[in-house]
Amino acid sequence: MVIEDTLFILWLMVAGPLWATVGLFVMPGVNQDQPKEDQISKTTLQIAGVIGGFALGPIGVALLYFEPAMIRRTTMMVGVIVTVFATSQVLVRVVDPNLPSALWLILAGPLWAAIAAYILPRHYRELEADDQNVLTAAALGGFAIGPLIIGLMWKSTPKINRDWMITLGSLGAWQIYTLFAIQNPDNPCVLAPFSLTYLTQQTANGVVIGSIYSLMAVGLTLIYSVQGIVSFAHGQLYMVGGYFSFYFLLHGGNVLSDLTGTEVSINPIWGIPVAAVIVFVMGALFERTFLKPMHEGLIERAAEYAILITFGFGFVIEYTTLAVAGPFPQRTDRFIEIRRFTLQRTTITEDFAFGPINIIGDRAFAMVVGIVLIFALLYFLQRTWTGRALRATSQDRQAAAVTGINPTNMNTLSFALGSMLAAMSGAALIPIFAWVPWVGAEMVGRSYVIVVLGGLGSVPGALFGGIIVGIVEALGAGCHPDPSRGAAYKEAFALVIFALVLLLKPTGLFGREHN
Amino acid sequence: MAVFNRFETAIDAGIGRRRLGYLLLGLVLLFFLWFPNDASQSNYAKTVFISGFFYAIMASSWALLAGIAGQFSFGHMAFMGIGAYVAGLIARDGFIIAGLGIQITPESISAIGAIIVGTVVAGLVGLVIGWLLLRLRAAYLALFTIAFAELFRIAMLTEYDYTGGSNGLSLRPLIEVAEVDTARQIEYYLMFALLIVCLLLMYRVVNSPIGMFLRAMREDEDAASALGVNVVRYKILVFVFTSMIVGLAGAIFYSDVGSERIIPEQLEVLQMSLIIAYAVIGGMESLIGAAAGAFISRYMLEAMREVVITLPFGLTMADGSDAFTWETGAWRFALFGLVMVFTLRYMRNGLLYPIINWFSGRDLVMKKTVSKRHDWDDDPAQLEGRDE
Amino acid sequence: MSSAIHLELNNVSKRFGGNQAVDHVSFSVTKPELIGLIGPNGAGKTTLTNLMSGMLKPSSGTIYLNGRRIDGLAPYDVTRAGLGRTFQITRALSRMTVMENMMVPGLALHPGMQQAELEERAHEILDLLTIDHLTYEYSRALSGGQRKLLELGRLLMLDPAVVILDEPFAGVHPRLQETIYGYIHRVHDDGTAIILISHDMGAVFELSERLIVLNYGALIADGAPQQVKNDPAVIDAYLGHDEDD
Repeated sequence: MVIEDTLFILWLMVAGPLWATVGLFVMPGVNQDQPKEDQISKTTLQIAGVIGGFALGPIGVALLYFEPAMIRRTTMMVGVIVTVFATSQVLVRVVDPNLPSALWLILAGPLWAAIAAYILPRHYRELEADDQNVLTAAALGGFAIGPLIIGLMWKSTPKINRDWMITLGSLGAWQIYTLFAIQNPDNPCVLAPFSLTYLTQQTANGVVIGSIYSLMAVGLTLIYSVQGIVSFAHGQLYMVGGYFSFYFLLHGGNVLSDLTGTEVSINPIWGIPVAAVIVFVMGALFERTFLKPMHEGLIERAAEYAILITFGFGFVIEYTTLAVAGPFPQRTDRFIEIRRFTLQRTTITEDFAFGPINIIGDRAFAMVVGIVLIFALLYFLQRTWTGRALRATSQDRQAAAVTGINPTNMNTLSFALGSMLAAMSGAALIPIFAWVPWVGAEMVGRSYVIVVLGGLGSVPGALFGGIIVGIVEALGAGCHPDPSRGAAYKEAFALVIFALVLLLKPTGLFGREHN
Repeated sequence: MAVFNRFETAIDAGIGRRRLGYLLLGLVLLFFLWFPNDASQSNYAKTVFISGFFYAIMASSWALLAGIAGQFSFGHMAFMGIGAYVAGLIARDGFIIAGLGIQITPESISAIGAIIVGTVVAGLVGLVIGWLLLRLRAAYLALFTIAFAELFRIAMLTEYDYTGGSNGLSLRPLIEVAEVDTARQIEYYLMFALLIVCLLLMYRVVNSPIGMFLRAMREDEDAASALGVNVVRYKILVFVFTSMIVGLAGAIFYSDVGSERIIPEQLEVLQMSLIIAYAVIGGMESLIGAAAGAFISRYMLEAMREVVITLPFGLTMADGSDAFTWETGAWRFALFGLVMVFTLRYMRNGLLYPIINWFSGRDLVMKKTVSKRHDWDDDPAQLEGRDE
Repeated sequence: MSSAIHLELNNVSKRFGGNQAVDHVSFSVTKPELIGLIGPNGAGKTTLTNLMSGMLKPSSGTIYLNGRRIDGLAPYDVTRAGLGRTFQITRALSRMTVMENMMVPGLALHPGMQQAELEERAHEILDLLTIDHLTYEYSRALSGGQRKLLELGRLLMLDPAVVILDEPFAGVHPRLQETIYGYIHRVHDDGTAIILISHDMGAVFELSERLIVLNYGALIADGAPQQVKNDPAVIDAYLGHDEDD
């Protein structure tokens, strides 16, 4: 299907302002439940509501409404991305590709990072300044802006907050991109004006698939925040969710066909709730049998046990599926008949044209499913008693227990719910990817990357992490000079980020800090 | 070789059982030495044994790393792969370090030389990874090593110009004997000798003060450090040591001893999970337990490959077919996983623990020393301070 | 056991984010004294212990032990320099036997010594602490009080010049408390300086020769017990704190 220019413009003209108005009136409601000091000024909320509503419609409004903390971050990130892209486009044109400056950038980055990381934390301690995050900021800053960071941080020893980290991190990314652009001026990611379209296309692909990544990662983070354990069975639950959907559709379709006497096929959307229910029960049973004794203190070396037992659970699921389903790739029907949504090419001037941008229909549909489910989850966590109880347990088990919440039930619920989210992600993606029993092993690496990047235990972190990883993978694969290598290294790009985050800042971007 | 606790061996209680244990070990050793001479055994059976020895090395070294030193690494297979790939690449392409005047051509390096280089490189990578992991604990360490292992695997898979991609890389054959039966015989003894040497080396470490420090570190890193144990040094040491052992084992095994080529598929997390399962089932806090667990599991899995269970036994249905047939081949790994999960839950120290524990005579040592008790020993008021 | 003792803290501070946990604390220990370190909850006693033992790095200030700068050293190096500590919540190495618990510090600190000799010493110490019958028991099987004793015993294997005992009487049976008293006297008589942290004021006043009082991370009194007891700042700290609760 092709969305005609006129249609698109019509949408912009009608839907954008409409939702912007909704955002304008709805957003100030964020303040009603908040204590005085957490309130955000009404004007800010209204502006955010208008922008969010205009850009993303109902999604934007809901996103901001349920996670008001996102407002500042989103604004900053959008600002940084735009600046970075614009400046690197200018630089690529100015800098001679044969200049040894590239070499300087490569060598000097890590060098200055090491120097700054060595000097600055010590300096902070000597001056008795707050040295939280200084190591990370110094390393990032040294990499991005070299000796400047030492000058910047030496004199006034500013407190390093999240905004610093995001700015410096983006600067580093900007530098890498520029370097890349200088070295590969013919790459589709660099060639302007084509690059804008190409990058947008890749980013759009990343966002689309990233929303499902987020869904899965939220499950993992939910389990961690309540139980304090990382589920190493998450990938297999994702995989088996896909298979439950597959078999339901297969057998359900056959049964219906027999009953009605005509060829009937069930839309794969119905596989999602089925997989969700089955895996929810599976997760709950596993938690009751194997994890509950651990929380009751019946098991020694609990941390080790948690790793091994969830790992073993995944092992059993994987090989049972292999025995039942065999190693052959499976796939269900499509969600929707529409092959792809296309945003047509718009020519503004002779030199500058934008588009076309294509989104595969089923992927777009999966994204919508992912977003709807995430909002359902956020609503559940924020606005229902059980959801609040779950969050309370994750913050302080004992205090929660005193107020009449049963922590044992919350443990079971969190594991079952987390597993269910993985299964739903699987069921949402089986119409898109070829499904084999080891598909989970690949996916789970990704969700670890996401949760660690966002901070283990942080739900907004997992949402953002998912989108970021989706974009990084799409851009990495799309911009690699050798396309076949690029595709093969797809996972590797995210893993590199993962390793760096683990080493530099294990609490991630949104994680709670521990003393 | 002292398999049992060094501070208790001085006490004569239970010494009879320990002697019996050593006797049994000797008999097992004799069986393995005799086995390839049994003319009725096929080369296939020997191949199964050879891979059993290899996995016994992998599992017992993982037991040292995770069970004794408490470092939950999922990167064990990757270190094995580094040993094998480096040995293979060196033997094929040679290497030159211009600055140091080192120049090795493929012609000038022997298979053994390539294996040594592979082992050393695995140890060096272990050094770097061990150093990086100093800041990470438990689940974070596991996650980091998964990332490392996956990155390595993807790189090996993708850089097919060098590594052969999914077709794998052939190493220089270590044993160049044309006659198949003799070659298999030599390979068998070589792998068995390697297993014994590795086990002896690891036992030497485990039973030295270092082994005790490693266990102290596993129990409580802060407490061990406060007691003067240089946790940084021993953490890195155990990574380097186990990496070198698996690097060596990998380089030898894939030098046409057990397998003719190393493929990236061997480095998948799934393969790593098998190693972990072997060690857990055998007992991850005992080297010999993990090694035996790996060998026995490997053998059982191989034996189950072709088994078909038909129910009800000896009966047939009216139409002449079997009532129910069940080919275990497809299900063996699923069953194996179930065994692992239930071992973890109900037999935490592995299925072989009761046997090993009986031979150690611990209960007799205890009986002998716990004769003098104070009246407040069982006072419940003291139990408040318990912290587990 | 050791002859020379000179522990010196100069303006030691530690911040956690915006919270000043330890605020410019200075004092020195120059002879084998028995020092009580007291203060209301959250006064920074445990943080100060962690700073001295190397578990935390001070934000500023220096700590010297017998001429060697020990702030910023790893905990094991601080231990080797001659400062031993126990933990508020006992940290027995639970899947190791009592004997192994004793031998870890023994072998870590004296790599050259004969194992038999160390074992002999371990037996002696366990005998003194009345837990010799548990020598080959796994320490996870010990009761809370016995674990306390084991921790104290492990300290002696280190031959420390200064020991910090963090709440040695908490949750301990009265009979065992007597044993711990005996232990403290014995260690003191051997010429080791002891810094005793305890909420049990009776015990602290009975045992200490000198008292150091912390409040909100700052040192507010340092002197003989009788003198400190009547110090208005100290009285205010304790009473004022009670009102806060």
